[in-house]
Amino acid sequence: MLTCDDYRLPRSLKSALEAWSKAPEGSRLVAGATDTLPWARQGRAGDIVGDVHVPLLVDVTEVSALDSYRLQDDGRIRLGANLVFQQFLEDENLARYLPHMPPCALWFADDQIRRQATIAGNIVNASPAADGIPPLVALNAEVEIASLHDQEVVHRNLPLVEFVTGPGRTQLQPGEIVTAVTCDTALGYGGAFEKVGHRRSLVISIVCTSCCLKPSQDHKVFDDVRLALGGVGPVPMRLDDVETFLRGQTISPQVIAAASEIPLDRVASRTRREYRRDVIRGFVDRSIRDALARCGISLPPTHRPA
Amino acid sequence: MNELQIEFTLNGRRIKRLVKPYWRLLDLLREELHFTGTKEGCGAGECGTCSVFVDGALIKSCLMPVAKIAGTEIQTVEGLARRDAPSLLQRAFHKTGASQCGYCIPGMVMAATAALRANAEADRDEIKERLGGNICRCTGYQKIIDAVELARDVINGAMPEAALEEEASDSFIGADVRRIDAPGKVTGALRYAGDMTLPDMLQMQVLRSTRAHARILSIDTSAAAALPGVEGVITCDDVPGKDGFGVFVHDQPVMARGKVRYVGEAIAAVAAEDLETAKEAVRRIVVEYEDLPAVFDPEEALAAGAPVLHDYAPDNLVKHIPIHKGNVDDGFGLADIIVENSYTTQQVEHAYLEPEAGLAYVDADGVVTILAPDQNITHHRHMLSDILALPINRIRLIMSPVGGGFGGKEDMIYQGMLALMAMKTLRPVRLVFTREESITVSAKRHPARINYKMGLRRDGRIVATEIRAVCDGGAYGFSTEGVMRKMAILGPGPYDIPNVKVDTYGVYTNNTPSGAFRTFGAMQSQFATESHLDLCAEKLGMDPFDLRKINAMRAGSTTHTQQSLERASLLQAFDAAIAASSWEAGPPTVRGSNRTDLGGEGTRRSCRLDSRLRVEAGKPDGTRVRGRGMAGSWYGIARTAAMDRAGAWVELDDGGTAKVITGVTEIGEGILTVLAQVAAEELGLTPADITLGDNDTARAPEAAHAGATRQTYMIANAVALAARDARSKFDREMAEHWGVAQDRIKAANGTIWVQGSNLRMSMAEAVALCKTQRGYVPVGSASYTAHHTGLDPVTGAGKPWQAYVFGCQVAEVEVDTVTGEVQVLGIWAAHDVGRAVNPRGVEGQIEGAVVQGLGQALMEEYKTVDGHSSTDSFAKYILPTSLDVPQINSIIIEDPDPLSPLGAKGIGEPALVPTVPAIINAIYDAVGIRINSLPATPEKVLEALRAKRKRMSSSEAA
Ligand SMILES: Cc1cc2nc3c(=O)[nH]c(=O)nc-3n(C[C@H](O)[C@H](O)[C@H](O)COP(=O)(O)OP(=O)(O)OC[C@H]3O[C@@H](n4cnc5c(N)ncnc54)[C@H](O)[C@@H]3O)c2cc1C
Ligand code: FES
Ligand code: FES
Repeated sequence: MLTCDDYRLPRSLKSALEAWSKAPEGSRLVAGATDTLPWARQGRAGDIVGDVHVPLLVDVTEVSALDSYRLQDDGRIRLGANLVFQQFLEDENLARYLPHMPPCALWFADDQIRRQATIAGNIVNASPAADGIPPLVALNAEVEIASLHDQEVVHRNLPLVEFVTGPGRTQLQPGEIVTAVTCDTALGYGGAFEKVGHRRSLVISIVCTSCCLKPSQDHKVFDDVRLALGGVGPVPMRLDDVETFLRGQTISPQVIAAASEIPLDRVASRTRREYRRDVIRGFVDRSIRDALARCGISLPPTHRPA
Repeated sequence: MNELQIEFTLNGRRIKRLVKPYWRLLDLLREELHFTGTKEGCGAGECGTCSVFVDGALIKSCLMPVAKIAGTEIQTVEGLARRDAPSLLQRAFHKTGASQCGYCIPGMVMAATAALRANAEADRDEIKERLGGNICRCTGYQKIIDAVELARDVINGAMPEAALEEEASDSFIGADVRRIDAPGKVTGALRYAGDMTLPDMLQMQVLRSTRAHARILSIDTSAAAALPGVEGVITCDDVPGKDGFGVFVHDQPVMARGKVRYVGEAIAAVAAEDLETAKEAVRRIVVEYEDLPAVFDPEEALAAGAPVLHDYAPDNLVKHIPIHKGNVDDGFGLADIIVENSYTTQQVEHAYLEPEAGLAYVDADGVVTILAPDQNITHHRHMLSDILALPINRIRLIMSPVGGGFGGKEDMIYQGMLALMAMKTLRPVRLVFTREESITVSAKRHPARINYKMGLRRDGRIVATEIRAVCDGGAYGFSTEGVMRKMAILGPGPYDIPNVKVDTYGVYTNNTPSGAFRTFGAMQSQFATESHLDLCAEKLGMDPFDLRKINAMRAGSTTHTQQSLERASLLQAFDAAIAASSWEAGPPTVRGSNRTDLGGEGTRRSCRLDSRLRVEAGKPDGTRVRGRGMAGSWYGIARTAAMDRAGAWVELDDGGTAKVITGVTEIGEGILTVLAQVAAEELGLTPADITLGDNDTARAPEAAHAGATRQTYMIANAVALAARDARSKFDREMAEHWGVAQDRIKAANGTIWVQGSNLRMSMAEAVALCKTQRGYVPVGSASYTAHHTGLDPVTGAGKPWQAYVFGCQVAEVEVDTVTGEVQVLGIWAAHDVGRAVNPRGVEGQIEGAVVQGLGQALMEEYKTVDGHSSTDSFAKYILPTSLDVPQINSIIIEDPDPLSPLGAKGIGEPALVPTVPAIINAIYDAVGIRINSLPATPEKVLEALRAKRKRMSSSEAA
């Protein structure tokens, strides 16, 4: 288990940044703690009796500046770092702006962990299997980061795709705290999320696919498509080539089938490569169909032999 | 350390406490406040035994740093309702039989409460989704989900509250009597060993090997012993007697002696005033190792020159069991077709939700007492007597409530260390395993590699079967010999085959040991047989049922061990499964896409995780295909190839109640309820009148272990006989009192009367009369024996059991050809149980077994890399959740056993046997791939599909 000498729950961003920037070496920042506590156990980071000791834990969940979400004037949405995944299921307004998040949330952990698990935690933990990252990447997400400079709170922004640099690795610097994620909104889009692991709840993604798209008013062509993959490489992957291919194209099974062939060689995982390639093809196809269905468009199957 | 002062509300009461900064809410609740209804099944968010409400939102308290709860309102299971007035939902759990071992149940009740609070109209799919974070290893979830639906309907007024009460019935035997231990489980009141504390108690921790095979050059415990607060350090040097335990061979020292043979093996243990100090002391023990060559593969271990684990076994062979009947070479000579194939099964973890735990103390009379969730206190006391060099009655084992066992708590693991530490410190000590510790050090299901050869005539008659199975026993013997025996005896399946040659080998390696696990090897070998028969049926163009029926054992058939069967219910099981599943006959030639029997009443909807989305997912796109498979099975009841026995005492007690005392091992299977039903029926009382004594070697007669599906057969029969003994003495007194013939005395439901007269009184009055006026205390006792014989060491001939059960299951699956994922949508399970004392309990056993089978078929796999576990948590060792389970349709067949006073046989293990091959055969039916190596993970399924496509396109090209 994780032991510490001190645990602090600052209430303002400034005091959080102060505590965090002065924290002794080895201290950790926590939000929901759903990644941090399991990490500190036997067989993972734990020692011979399964413990990890750190001097200080700085908990950011009481920092109100990190809470909730709001629409920005530029049409984007700002999601507070502490937003938890359950909120995508329970807040109908949020679901309208980000229609691909409810299906992602349903696949995420379980009803209980989702009340703790924050988006910032998911992003900073930077697991290649993180389910929360692909849907945000697909909406051009940027990470908003705060730090202290001469006792002043300063912010910088980084595109999410750049922020995550590898498994468990990000561009976050010592003393920095993620305050929010901003991304495009997808009002009027249909959203879908496909995921496969070894079971249907509490499951780590082997592959996941997030899709949101908007058909033209007459339901004939794709106006906009956003697609991203998780689990297939060290970092999440936006499928811009597929998106470009589909934009303006006629909505048909053939077009979707052709689109799903495009990303196959993008699997960068060292393990289960063949598997992941096979799945991606099907998932791109399926997630587009699901998202279309949610816009009221249903297509005949393209039958592939088993 | 900066301790934190926090204030919060717990179940409506304000509380202020100084807490350690690193505690989790779970630690505060359990260790500080003793609210032990909240359990720690994994400590990592993966199981849900720790679920509590914080400000109305359900969370997992093992992932909640305690500092976060300042100012909040916490509600635990204890706060849902007073335990003498349970909530509607808790009552529904009681009614439907939703609790077995009970360890997951408080958390499950919390999750169910949250589900109905969130949506009082939630449908079955939504309920399953909302329970998705809570694992149950016993029930298969079906009765839990039934309970939530029942509570929902009562809350919404769709059902009357009376639906929560027990249905009336004339007889207690054969009735769905509610479990007598359920109220304590659904309210969280029942305390398991890890929930108990004793005054002055020390906390124990164990230092474990980090090497797979190494000589121990030295163990330096001085720094540990010098740490303030440490009260005892023990190593193998502290063992006073003959060090060694195991079931068939005592090859394992209590703590490593001279060398370690697997990663996780205990080397030393520490007891200290608190857990932190005990852990710190463990860190300070210095072990000097010299690594030895290790062997991790059983075939390699058998090869000449392999590293040797135990001096007594230079060939690394734990045991070879042969079963030879007729002459297989002659048999193959007569065959029209010979089919050969190989099968492998994986190592599987029991994953009982309660990790190992125990307390020990030396009592005032000097008796070393161990309280633990122990599936076999009888045998463990025997072994401890030698190890501790104490007369057997100076050792006392008391079984604490067992939070799931499945065989995993049958092999002794830590009891010796507890006893030694209590003797050394003369203080109570407690040891609680973490989940990781439990997974890495406890014994597993034996992985098997099976070579199969079968010869058949064109009409389907099997003329010869040859099986060779090599099984990894791991570093110590545990139950391996017994597992090899059962695997061999039952391996060729319930089929009458003239020529049989079976050889099973259990082999030492430096892997995590294998031991007893539900079905004791029968699952592995019958998985091979039933998969193989599907292959043969396809080759012969026969319906899989027809092929099996032709060969089925019938009354008068001779078993593979040359025992003549007096009865056999296999054909009944086949017919019942065919009828219940509306099976469409035909050969297993990948008929899935053309079948007309799919998607019927006995199946559930395919899970899409969309029950809460306001919009539906896309239409079926042809990428998900269905199919069906079946498998038959058989099983022997009670101890294998050895005399089995169980004893019981019964006393008709004041107030018209009765004490029933027997060493019964309730591990969730429901045996206590069965005994109460049987005693009530025999004594003329009601189950509520029965007081069951604890399973305590110092207080109860031997009834031995929970295993071998022997509980109902052995112990319920012993109790029935003891009750009859008490009754007949009591009736004799009452007959003399009334001056009538004894055979006219009748009793039922708490009343005793003379048939054909108006003489009657309550049992309470009658017992008082018997004692005060006749001066007689009505006590009875009995022993029940199952007359089994050992097997011939060369041919395997013998009578391993007197009672056999038969079964059959049909599985319907959906294979996702995009992901390779398999969903099991329906299982029809027809099983002979002799007589169902409690039909709902029988269903519960079937449902739990089916879901364990599903786990083994599709997802579970304990893996090691050079002896180091790579699946040491529930994040990596994947168990089925409520979203992965099929609809299970149980069909109970009753073919009473003439040698059983009750007619009952058993069901605990047998129902697991046919599940795996039924699922695997169904996958073939759906998509035409044979998974011969378990589990059928999505990757394996897709790989096989890819290979099949390649084969097909190359054969088209050719
Ligand atoms: C049983 C279980 C199931 C799970 N299932 C899933 C799943 O299905 N899909 C999935 O993607 N994940 C899953 N997870 C992982 C985890 O729940 C998520 O990654 C979650 O989003 C992490 O958020 P948190 O707030 O709990 O993280 P924490 O543990 O609090 O933090 C994680 C990391 O992020 C850092 N961090 C947190 N907040 C900030 C901030 N504001 N600024 C800078 N750094 C910060 C922390 O320092 C830490 O390094 C599961 C975890 C468990 C235990
Ligand atoms: S103990 Fe908390 S989820 Fe298992
Ligand atoms: S009853 Fe659920 S784990 Fe035993």
